[in-house]
Amino acid sequence: MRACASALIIVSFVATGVYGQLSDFNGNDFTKADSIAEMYPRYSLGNLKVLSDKLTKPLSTDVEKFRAIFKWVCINVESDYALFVENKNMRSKLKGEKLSAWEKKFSARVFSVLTAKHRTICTGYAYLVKELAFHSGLNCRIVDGYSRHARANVGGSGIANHSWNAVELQGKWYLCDPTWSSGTIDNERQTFVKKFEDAYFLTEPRLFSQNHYPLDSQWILVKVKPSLQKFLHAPLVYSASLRYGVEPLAPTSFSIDVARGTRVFFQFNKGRGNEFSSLALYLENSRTSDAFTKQEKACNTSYSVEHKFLHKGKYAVHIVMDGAHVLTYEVRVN
Amino acid sequence: MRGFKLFSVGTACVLLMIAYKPTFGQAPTVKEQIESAKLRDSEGVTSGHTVSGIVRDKEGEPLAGVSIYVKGTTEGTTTDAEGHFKFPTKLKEGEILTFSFMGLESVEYAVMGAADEYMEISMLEDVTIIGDLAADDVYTTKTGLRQLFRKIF
Repeated sequence: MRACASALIIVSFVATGVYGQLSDFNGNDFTKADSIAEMYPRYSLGNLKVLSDKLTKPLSTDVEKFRAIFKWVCINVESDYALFVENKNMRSKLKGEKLSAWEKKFSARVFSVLTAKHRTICTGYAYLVKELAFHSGLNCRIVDGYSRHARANVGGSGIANHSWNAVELQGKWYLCDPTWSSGTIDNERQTFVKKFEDAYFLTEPRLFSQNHYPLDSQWILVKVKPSLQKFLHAPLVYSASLRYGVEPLAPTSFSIDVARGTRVFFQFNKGRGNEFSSLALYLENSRTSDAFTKQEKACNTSYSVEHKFLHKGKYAVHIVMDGAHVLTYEVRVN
Repeated sequence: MRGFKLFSVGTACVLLMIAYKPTFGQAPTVKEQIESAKLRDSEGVTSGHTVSGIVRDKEGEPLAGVSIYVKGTTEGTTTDAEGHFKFPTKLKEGEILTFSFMGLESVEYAVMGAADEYMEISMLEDVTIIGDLAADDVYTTKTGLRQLFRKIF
């Protein structure tokens, strides 16, 4: 077991920065595209054609051009928490004509904030990527739909809350999410923390569909499409799940009810993606703030972690790889 | 060598930003436009016709500041305060013009016929704003103090 663990550690160093979703472009090195993206910090959005030319003219392949555009948007545009809150509140408050009238004014404001401050909410990111791609001759579109994270679309009947992109490269369509690749919101401080996340660039569609469900299901880009219901009620995944290539096997739903004393096996598949060196189960008891590590058990590409629930209550159960959350379930023990 | 080229482009860009700050959106375009026009002259493709027109939004209101380019080139112009434009160089049938405006989806129109042309362009596709943010925090069954505070008040 110890030998196995050290083998895993070595693999994890080798695999750093190589993600399965980019396997079609294994021969491509994005160093040049990334360095071009870094040459134009906070460049004016007054004329997107000029910016697009600067980012893509020195590059020869479409995938590199798109990478430079995507990277530039992610490292130069910030999420605006105030716009997010206003949008959310007004959408729940207004209906019909009042909503349409407000939407028009709000849209104008979102784009003037974007131009003036390089700050926006998800549609602004997706719009910029699409338009910059348009100016370099790439076929890219905005995809609207449901995103799923700790504070959105966990259970329920679904609220369309997000926009991302699909892009055609070498005759095939790929998915990416510039909003989620740009950084994250610190929920407590309600501020944006900039951090480029590669996991949402040309992501393997099966993994991408775990936290993105388009309004038009043709943009799922997988043959066997999950239903919206299955998507909304599946175990919760995180960015790290995409990095590690984690897909839950069992239980199949986020919320599960068990009798006291039941042993539950949490199983998942691990496809292409980063290797890991540690695997743990964390249990968060809703009545106390205690959380503790349980155990690990691994075999080939599917893994199973078990826990016996001895006490009544509602628990968040987390599967954690190398300290990063990859799966969460909510278990009610009766 | 390539590194140096990139560096020069970067430097030029910074200089342009300093020199043309008040009218930045259009300044580099004018320069690039002239270069491009020269290139077209040398290729002998100037024998075209004049294209002008007006660009409107979906309510029919004229749009000022729409940037217009010949697709695949840096040759372009913008609409004036009344939404009018007159393309600075002569264009040939079949050339594609792109119309872009922040917040609207870009559209493409082909230049028609051999005679001077007046285009009436409608930019219809605006973008519905959806508002999610980058969230990757860990799910919790507990209600934080902040959320509790919000729920009560």
